[in-house]
Amino acid sequence: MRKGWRGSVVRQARRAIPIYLLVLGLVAMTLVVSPTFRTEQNFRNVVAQVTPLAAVAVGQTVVLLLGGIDLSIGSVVSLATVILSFSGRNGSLHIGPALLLALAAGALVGFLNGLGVVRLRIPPLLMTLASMAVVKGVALYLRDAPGGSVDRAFTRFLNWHAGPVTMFGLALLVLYLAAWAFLSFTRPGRHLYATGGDREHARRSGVNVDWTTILGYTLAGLVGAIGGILLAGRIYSGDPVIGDAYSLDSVAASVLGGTSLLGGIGGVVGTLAGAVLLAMTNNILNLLNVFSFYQYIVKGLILAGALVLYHVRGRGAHRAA
Amino acid sequence: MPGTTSSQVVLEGRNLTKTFPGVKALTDVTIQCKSHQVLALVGENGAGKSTLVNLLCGVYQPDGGEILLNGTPTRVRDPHHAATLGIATVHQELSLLPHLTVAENILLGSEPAGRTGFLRTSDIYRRAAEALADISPSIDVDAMVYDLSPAERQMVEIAKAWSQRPRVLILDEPTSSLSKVEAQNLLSLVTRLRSQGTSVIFISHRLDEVFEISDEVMVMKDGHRVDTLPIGELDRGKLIRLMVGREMTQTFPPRRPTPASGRPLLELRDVARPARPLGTAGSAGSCGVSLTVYPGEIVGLGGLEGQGQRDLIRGIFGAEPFSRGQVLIDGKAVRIDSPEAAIAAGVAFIPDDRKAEGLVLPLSIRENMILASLARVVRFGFLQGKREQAMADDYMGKLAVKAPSADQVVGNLSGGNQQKVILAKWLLTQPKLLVLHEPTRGIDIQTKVEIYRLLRQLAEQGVGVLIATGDMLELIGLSDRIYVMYEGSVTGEVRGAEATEERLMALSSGGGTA
Repeated sequence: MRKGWRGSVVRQARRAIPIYLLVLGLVAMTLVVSPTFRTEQNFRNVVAQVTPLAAVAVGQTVVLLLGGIDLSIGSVVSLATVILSFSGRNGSLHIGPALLLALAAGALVGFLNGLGVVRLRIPPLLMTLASMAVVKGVALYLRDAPGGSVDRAFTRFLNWHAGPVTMFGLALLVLYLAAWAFLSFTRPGRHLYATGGDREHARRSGVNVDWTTILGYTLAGLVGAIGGILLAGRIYSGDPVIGDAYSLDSVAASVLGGTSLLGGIGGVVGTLAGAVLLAMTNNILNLLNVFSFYQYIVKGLILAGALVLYHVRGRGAHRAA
Repeated sequence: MPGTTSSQVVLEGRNLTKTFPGVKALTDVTIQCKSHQVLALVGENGAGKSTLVNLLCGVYQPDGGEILLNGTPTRVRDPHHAATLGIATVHQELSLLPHLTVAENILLGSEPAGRTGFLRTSDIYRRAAEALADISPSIDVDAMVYDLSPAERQMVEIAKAWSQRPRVLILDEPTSSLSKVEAQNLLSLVTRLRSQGTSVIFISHRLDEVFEISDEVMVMKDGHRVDTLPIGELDRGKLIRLMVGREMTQTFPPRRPTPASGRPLLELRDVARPARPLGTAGSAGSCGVSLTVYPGEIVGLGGLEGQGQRDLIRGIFGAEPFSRGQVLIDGKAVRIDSPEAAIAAGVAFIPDDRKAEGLVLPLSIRENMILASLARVVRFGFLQGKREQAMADDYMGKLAVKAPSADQVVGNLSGGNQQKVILAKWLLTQPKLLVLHEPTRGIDIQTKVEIYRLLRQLAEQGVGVLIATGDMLELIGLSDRIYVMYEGSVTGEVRGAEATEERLMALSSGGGTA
């Protein structure tokens, strides 16, 4: 083992091995079966499809590592698209302030989630269920139906591509590298794992668990807004309900990638593969002309299969713990 | 080498008092920790040792008295604050995070970070390795904690405390999960730390260890300090006499006049669990336990906390089955590999953790009482409300459960009444053998006496009662026969009428005679 690549880094990577093998296997299989899948166009398509979910799932992973959950993250995605949809022609906002406002709104929602969980001791599931409803209400108040438009220059920027390299792909790469470095190589990142692993033990070791929790939720809200911004770049408009599915899909992506719902175990390395697997399943089944209801069934089976896998593998470690 | 010239008082607790709801855990206790010294803290279960330690390291705040650090009155806010003040504690229950590496655990909360906020990973591992080098150099700093043995975890825990270079190091039963060799290493480590000037508070039930490494011994009893003496003025017998000698405050029902005889109701022949010997997690070699319970007698299972009593009775009930040896009930060998099998064999078990294992708190008294004997009130698949009601009311009266009705939710009852509901629940199964674990812990005296009387009545009806308790007076007052356990095996069997606290304490601390 090289110096520097130790502990949580290795841990994250090891846990993600099976899911990466699964994704690679799926890609290899589809490459053989579907000629359309092989095109550069479809590759860009897959990247664009996976981007919002993969981005949002980063935020969800952070909260899951804390042993919490963020159901409001989908509403934050919607709200971000709605705010950006006021930046286009005839809109009332310039793109700069719109972006800042979207990010600030996301971070604020996350901060309040964290505050509710820590100070008012509301269970995360209920706290974020409540804020999910409130934020959705705000989004619907701002725009009661899909519409508006996003600043042209900004969408052009986001949709830039050169060959297989796309802006969406680059944005995702930067986000994941940042999240990975934060979780693996910073004090707050380490404290996040410790807090989620055992709150009381972490506290006794001098970790400020309350602050760490609030930070985690705030980051999740912020990343949720980033996901919304990227999504707005794809749909060129705002939609007050488009994010709904992301709340649970992001949990699914994190869990597929090996992050434990109990906290303290996992990381974004696996989450990326989890999100890719979920998005690709749709893409592949579409290419194969499979009806959409089958797609849901297949997605569910994949999720159940992955959970069984991790449960069986993880049992030894949990016992020992 | 007691009384090194340069020793001075580092940490002092003056007249410390602490009360928990219903219990005065500590009364007016004064303790002095000196540099270059090991102070051993000894006493029976519940003497207040852990409470005292928890006050010194900030887990609890004292209700009275003060803590002085180098002569200055200091408020220890929390365990982390204690660590920054130079007071490091290794608690009995370990507090490592299994999914972090050894190094990450050792430096948790005090990770070195650069100006950019990034961790200095190499520093973390270097400093962890330095701390471990003093304690147990063979442990890999890159290992995940869940891969370590209990002994190794104990060492990591000590390294974590040691990495702060504390002036006072508190070790609460650090050797209880270690084998003899490992314990010996730990003792030599403590000696080394002392020679470097550290003040060590050492809690142990192994009196041999106390005599081996301590400079002074502080004896506690019932939340009071009995005495603090230099080790040179003590011998084993004197120490035990200081630890015991409480007054009988409760009245116990009379014992059976003659020893029980005939065919044993329960007979254990050399039972053990090789994978993890009874009680002690790290001990080398497993020793089997053999004991008998006759119908109509109350058998006590004594010893200090964590000597294997828990594993033994849980094994009898099939909660964690034995992997070796034989269990005979009514003279027939039976396989008890689950609680269901135990119930079918006529065994009832009352666990020490009422809330977690004994009761369904949101359900009513009646529902809880009937839970283990539903078969008796079911007809054609339906519960018969009337019969259920009658049975519950009957036992409400028999056990004098204080509640307006059997429909009361159990969660709202007092501890004593909850214990009665549990008793009723198992008596309704009409057991041949009743196994109880700490049945009166945290219960008021009046209810205690009622429970003692009830147990004696059951015995008179021919039920065999096996009771594991750390309360020595209860053990002596209630039992017809007493087995004492030490480090996973039975060290002695004493007739209740002949038992004395000195005798039991000697057996409990590994000595055969006193």
